[in-house]
Amino acid sequence: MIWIETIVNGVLYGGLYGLLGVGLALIVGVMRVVNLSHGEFIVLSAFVGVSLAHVMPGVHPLILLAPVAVIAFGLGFGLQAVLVNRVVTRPDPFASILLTFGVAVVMRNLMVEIFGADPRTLPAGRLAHASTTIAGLSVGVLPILILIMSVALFTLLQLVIMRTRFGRIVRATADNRDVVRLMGVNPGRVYNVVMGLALALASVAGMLLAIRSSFTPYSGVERLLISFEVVVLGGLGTFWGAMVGGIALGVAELVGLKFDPNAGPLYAHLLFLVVVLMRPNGLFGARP
Amino acid sequence: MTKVSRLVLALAGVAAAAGPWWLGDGPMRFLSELFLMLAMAQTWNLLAGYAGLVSMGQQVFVGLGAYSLFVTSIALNLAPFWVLPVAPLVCAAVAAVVALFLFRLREAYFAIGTWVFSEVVSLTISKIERLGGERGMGLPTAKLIDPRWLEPLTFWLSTATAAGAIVGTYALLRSRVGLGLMTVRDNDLAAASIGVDVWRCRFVAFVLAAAGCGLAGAVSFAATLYAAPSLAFDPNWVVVMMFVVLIGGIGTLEGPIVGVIIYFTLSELVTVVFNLSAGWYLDHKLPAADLYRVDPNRLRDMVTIVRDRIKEYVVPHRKRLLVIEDNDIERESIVELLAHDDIEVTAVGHDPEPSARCPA
Amino acid sequence: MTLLEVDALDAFYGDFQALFDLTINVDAGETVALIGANGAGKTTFLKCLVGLIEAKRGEIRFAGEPIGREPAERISRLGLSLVPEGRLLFASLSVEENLTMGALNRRPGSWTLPRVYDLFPVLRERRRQMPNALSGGQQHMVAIGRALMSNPRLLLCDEISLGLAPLVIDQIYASFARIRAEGASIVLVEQDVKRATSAADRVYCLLKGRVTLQGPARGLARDQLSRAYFGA
Repeated sequence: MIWIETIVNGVLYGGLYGLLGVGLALIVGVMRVVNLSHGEFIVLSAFVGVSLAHVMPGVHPLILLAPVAVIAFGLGFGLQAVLVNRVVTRPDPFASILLTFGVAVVMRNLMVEIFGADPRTLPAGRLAHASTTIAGLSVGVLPILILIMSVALFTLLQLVIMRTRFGRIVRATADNRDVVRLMGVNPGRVYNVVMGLALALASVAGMLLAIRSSFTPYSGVERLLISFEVVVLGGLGTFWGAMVGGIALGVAELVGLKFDPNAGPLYAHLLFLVVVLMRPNGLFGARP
Repeated sequence: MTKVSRLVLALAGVAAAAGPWWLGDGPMRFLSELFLMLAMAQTWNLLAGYAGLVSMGQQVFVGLGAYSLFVTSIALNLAPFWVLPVAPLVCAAVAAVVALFLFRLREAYFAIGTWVFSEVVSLTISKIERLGGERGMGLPTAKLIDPRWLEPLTFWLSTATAAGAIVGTYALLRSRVGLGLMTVRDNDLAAASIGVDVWRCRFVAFVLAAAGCGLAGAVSFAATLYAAPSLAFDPNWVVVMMFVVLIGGIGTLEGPIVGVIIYFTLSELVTVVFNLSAGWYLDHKLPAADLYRVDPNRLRDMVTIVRDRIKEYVVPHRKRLLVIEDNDIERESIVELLAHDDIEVTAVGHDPEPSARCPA
Repeated sequence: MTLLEVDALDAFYGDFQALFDLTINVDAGETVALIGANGAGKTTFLKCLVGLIEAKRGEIRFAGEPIGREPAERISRLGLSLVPEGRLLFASLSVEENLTMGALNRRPGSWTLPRVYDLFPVLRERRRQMPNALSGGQQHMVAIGRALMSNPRLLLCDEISLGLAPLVIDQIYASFARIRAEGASIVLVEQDVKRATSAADRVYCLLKGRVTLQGPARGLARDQLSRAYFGA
């Protein structure tokens, strides 16, 4: 029974991991940019959430998701417009790596200066520990909420990309940046919005993760690794693949922790290696 | 090699050997760190710049080098520097095995795969109590070394490791495997079609890079007398390697040299000028990132100029060419076409002993 | 009325000069063919017109307005449409989505989605398919349709017969009559001299980035063309 509960909880948290990765998947898929500062933005949104919660003590953190996401969108838009757009057009793939890495370091140091290096969490009150019984299993209320939110956001993203005019423009820009200019589309502006969107999604994941576990300004690297693992596991170029990848990693981690409490993310990593070695293009990946 | 560069190298060698006597402890430690970083960067450069393997997990060999040294030294109760060769050997062995699996992955998948592998090793070691677990382990056998010789030995070993990395890379690139690597770097599909064993070339590069990193890691941690998973397997190692190589010029022998000079200069500059407290080795990247995005062309030009200057002294640039052509007119036009400042052309009508002239 | 005036155009790829002192005109309602061997600079010229390559020297005027230094996004709104060499369809978009992308910048005019489907009926059946499921000729049709959706005054076609069977090329060239009838002027870049001269009103021949011959399409002698095409 405990095992089934653990697996179910793993699935629920796995949705969170998927959300961590889908922002990165957007950036890599549309712009072919490796954003090494993704983890830092995830942590920054958690800090912003903590600060807002401080300023507005009566408001539940979950409600703060919206303003934090908006702030993250603005930051992403700005980051792309001011910095990343300058290196996106270069054929050299290392330029974006170097740039985003520099951004990550600057952000890390700024966060230490502003917020200090002590571990923080985002308190969610009774909700964090509330649990309910479904079909005889005890599951946390918060994880269910997180899963619902993740699935909702994923579905929304998929709808936007596949069914709207904006989504069409994004897909076309990802396919061929030059030809899309012939149709009056400015690729730079598309990238601005995509980056904003990606970071907004990451910020939601960052806040939700902060409710579950503590974080410091140095937590960005772990978050980055998870994001990469999710994207790669699912396969580059798929969104739902990232969701599945996230769930797989979540289950592996929680199940692993059940019988090996000291392991940290070890079993998630092991699962990643095994899957990726068996399917070198990820679970659903088309393009290598 | 030109006479000047030979002289410069000889002088540098003498200066290094005499280091402990004319350098203070501080500068010696600084240079040790610089040389070790140079060695590590050179291995990352070999992988990414020549073999086309972008590894974000190279720190695993830094850590494995350190731990294998510590464990062997304590187990055999020998002073650490005597068992130094264990580090590169262990790393080479691990790399050889791991390559069989990781080489199935390509590009981004390979990069993330190596990083995850490093985390797995790190987490596994932190669960082993005999190795000190998360807290790490010390190096009691360091007592067997006369403390006055610890810094000088570290300094000499660091210098030797750096020199070895550079010479080793150079030698590798001139070998058959090396030539194969250069074709692989440019276009691995084309390389395979002309019969280059792509897998083997990459394998050799990967194993050698692992050995180099392992040696550098072992020396680095032996000097600090303490190893812990969070330090030994810190992704920051590969991040600095990457930074140094990219800023100095990837795929060139002198790139890591230039890069490591820029890296340490910037970090000194920032700590002195800006006086920031949050980790000196992090802060230097602030102005670097600024420079890169504000004026990338000028920075590139500056770096290229510096790089070319160093190149003139470090890299032997005189090539020897033998032209055998019995038709006088053809021979002369070939010589005219190919002649250049740095090519020494010998033109003959026919060659009685074809093998004698070509160096091995 | 002169729709397109190109005056002493120089264009570069980095340090390499691809076009030398080009002067080419297109009048409203005309079909002009640009012929020449590989590397003569035909594609470079078209890319300059739409703003994908910057013109270093010289002037380009479209309907009297100078466009030589404008970015591609702005030029596309003025009524210049390119059917790129190699089609370059959006691989992640369906046929219909590709066509509607062309309409992002639409000017008032008669080309709508139903009219494009009338012109190329086979596309109507395949509207939800992805481009890689279509044959070469059908992909060309999508590329032309996409360019038409913006109701261009000047349609630029880059090597649309490349890699296609003669029957398919006939079909595509037959569509030009309709396109012309709706009021568009056409610049046709071709390696196939016969096709080009039979479909066009006037011909320019390019060699190594320079105009070596110009004149009415059917008035040029074969050896004249040969010399201009290959160089003396």
